[in-house]
Amino acid sequence: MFGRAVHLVIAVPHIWLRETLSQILSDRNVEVECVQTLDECLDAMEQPAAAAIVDVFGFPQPYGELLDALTGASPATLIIALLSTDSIDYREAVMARGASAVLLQERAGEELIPLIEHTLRIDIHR
Amino acid sequence: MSNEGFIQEVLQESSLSRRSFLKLSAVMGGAATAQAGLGYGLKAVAADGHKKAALNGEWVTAPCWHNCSCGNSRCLIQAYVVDGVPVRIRSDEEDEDLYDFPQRRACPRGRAQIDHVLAADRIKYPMIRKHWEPGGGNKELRGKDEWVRISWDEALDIAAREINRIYDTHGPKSIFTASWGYENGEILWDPVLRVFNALGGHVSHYGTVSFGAWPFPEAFMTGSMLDCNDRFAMRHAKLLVLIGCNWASNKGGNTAYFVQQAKDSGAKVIVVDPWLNRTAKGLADQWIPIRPGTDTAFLLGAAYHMIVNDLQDQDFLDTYCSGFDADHMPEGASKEDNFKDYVLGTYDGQPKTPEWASQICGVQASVIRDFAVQVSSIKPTSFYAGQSTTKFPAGEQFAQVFFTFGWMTGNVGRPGANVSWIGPDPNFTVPLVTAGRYGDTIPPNPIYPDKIIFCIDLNTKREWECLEYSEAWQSIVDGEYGRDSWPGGKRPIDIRMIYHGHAHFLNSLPNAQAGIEAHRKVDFVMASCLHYNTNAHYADLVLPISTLWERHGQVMGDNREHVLWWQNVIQPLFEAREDIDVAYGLADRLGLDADAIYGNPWPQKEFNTLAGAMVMKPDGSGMEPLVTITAQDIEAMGVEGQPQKGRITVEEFRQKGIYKVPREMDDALMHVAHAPFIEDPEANPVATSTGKFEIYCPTLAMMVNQYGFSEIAPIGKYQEAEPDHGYAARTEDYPLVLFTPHSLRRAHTNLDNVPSLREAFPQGCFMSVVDADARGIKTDDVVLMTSPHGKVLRRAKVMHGMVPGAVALEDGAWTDIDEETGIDLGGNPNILQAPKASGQGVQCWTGTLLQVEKYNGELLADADRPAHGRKIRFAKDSA
Repeated sequence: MFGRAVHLVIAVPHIWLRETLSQILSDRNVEVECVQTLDECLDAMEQPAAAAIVDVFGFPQPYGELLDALTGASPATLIIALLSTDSIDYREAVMARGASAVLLQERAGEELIPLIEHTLRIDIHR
Repeated sequence: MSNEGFIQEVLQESSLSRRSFLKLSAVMGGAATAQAGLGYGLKAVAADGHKKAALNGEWVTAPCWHNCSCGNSRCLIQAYVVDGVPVRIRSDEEDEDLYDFPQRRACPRGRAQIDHVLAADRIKYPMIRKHWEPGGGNKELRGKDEWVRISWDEALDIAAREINRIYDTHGPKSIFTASWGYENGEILWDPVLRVFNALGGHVSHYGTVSFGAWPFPEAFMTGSMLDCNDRFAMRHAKLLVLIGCNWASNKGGNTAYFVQQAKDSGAKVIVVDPWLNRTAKGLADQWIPIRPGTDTAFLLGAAYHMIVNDLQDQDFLDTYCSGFDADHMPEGASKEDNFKDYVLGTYDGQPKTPEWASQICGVQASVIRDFAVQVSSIKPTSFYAGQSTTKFPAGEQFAQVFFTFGWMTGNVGRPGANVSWIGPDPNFTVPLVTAGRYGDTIPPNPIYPDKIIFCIDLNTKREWECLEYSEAWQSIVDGEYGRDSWPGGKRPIDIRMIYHGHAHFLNSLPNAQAGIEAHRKVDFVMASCLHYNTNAHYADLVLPISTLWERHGQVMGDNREHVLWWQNVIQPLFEAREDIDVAYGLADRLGLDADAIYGNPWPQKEFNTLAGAMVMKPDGSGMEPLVTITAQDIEAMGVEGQPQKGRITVEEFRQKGIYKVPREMDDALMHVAHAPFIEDPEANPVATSTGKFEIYCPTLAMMVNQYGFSEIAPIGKYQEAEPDHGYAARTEDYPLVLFTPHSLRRAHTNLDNVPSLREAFPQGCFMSVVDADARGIKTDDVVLMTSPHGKVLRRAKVMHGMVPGAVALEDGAWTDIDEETGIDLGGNPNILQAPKASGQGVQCWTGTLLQVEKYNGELLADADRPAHGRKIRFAKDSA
């Protein structure tokens, strides 16, 4: 019933948002690695991650450059892009650069876990 | 010119004593602080000035005369004046600050008034362009030439000779007066226009400017004008929907505080706007980002969801509205032309689904549905839409859909229920206190005698000798104006003189590049100015005008709940004179009755504004005099008048400088728009042709379409703006669209010369992180903004809180053209804007096509640029 924990990376520069996301996943069957820079994120993805939850507009790097680096380093890792602005233009922009899914930051409490499960087609039950 | 240089000139040229000069130096900050980048050295002034002020000075109520927001402007400010020099400023601090009756405190703009009045770029004496000669001389030198200082007598002689020559040769239709001067002739209207009126007339202008496309839809669909719930009625709302309303920046006084009070009472706030503005950041529970100029599609998508789920308030629509569905069409109208069937796509084959709307406005369909459910289930809801939501081609359509959508929710006529475009508490609705008028007799303009502000005279179709604002400059350049569809078709125009007075038209009107061209075409440009602004820069003759601080006191309204009585604060700086003195001097030289042009002497004008001040009775039953005036008061003021009984004495009012109507929650003065109609629609019909709210309004369509600028249907519909305008019209060359919100740095174009405001609120090119990344642009990079009409250089402000494809450049920055490149270094969006008139004379400031690119060059930060943007160059052989 309880398989091996899935490896997730939370790549968020802002500590509060990073901690919040980490806590949402704290009682789930996942192995979470939190990072705050692109270099740290690339290091973390050397151990294959199922998904990376990335605050794509929170890094100093342009979002396109960031997504290119992440998808280039680990093509198998699915990118869940965190957005603070809910607009189809932002959704389309990050999806066009390699994100697999989009999550609005303010809805993370309700939607992060279902989204991970839906995107990875797994059950990360407690 | 540095502040130090300005002070030296003060010392040399004015009659200020050395003691006054030293205090003025303290206010200006001195060379040391200016060089250190602290601008006016306010800290030093606060410490030093306060000590001195406590010993010698007095607080004087001073006018903040700027119209930062229609009807909600002009907070109380008081200047601490020591030996004739203002050294400190304060706002409403003496009255208790109560929740229901808060102090009327000024914003950063009001508190920057000393800097504005004593600015280094004040025009100090009359100036003539060095190479000007009768008929213009080398006109291309306008904006490049040197200046020669002249006397007032010389200046008025030159002006009178040129006016006479142009009148004699070309007639009154050759004079374009870029100033405000409508019929009431009061404080904000330019008395110099009285001279042109008396001479035989002049070509004026029209258009809605601030109001966008709202006046006609409100008038003909609701039967009222500028009607909305007041602040206490708004506090009853459980949901506030603000579409394109950035009240935290652009509505003065306490408007944002009143929204917070509604939140305190349990209201949720939804802001619909292309960017995460101050209001959305500070007050919104939900921000719905939307592409500029697509709000119509957004509301139609929400309306579809309401209709198919039967969420609309059908009882309200059946009782109070006509035109919603086929069963409620007015007599004579086709049943197929109803709004419901349009939304459902019954006859045009295009259902206006949330998915359809989403593709246009960029809002997720699920968000549109959620919005529809919220507004139809939460009662009472107050809907407000900003003027800018309609400032695009056929913008009346948004107004039509907005009213219709609001009525679909039934939120009218009860506290907390509201559907209006003007914010709470403007003075237009039911003013609670007003000022009197000067009592002067103003000669009418014989060319255009009708006293119409917003529109041309559609009823009589007689002489339409007015230029629409968007097209004014291009019309002067082209020598014709109007439309082929007008009576007699397009009209020739041969403007030989441009007069600038109470406005900053060359900076404020769209297509400013054509404006410069127009200024280099005519024979004579005369500008009356406070500061060396864009009007002055391209003029031949510049006259130094005094600010209201340097004039006689008077009572002024322009707010629903208070009036101000300000006093003279300082003597006129340098050689500045009042514009009424300019009018007198010109009238005298032109052989007119100068005394009649001047009107009442100042003490009488002031008295008339005082004696004519009216206040609403506590039970709301009517107005009564505000001020008790005795025979002794009249004698002391040296005026003619009658004693009267009012609510406060002359001395009380003079001491406080402000009268605020006492208010409390749910008092008898609370205003709920359309309440009598909702209470009894049979007994109190609205003033429309059907006596109901007209969702189907053929009168509106007829009136708007007469102008020939755009075309609308009797019901609200969505149409792509224009082939060359709006989000859907973006091209490879111009893949972005411009919108131009107000800035806290300015009140329209006023105050852009104030260094402290420049430093606090840099004029940035606000753009989305998506668009910036695609161009390799980061915040503070210098960027070139290019439209089909001009180029502007700015520093980028890259935001995640901006809809991709949209770019904001706040309105009002002063043009500063680099003559070598033609690029505006000042950041004026009107350099980019199209000469595109629409609807009832609406300026299409939203949706101009744009490209933004990284620029390989330098641009000084706003705070580091000279306050006047460009140096005033004097000819070496001048005095």
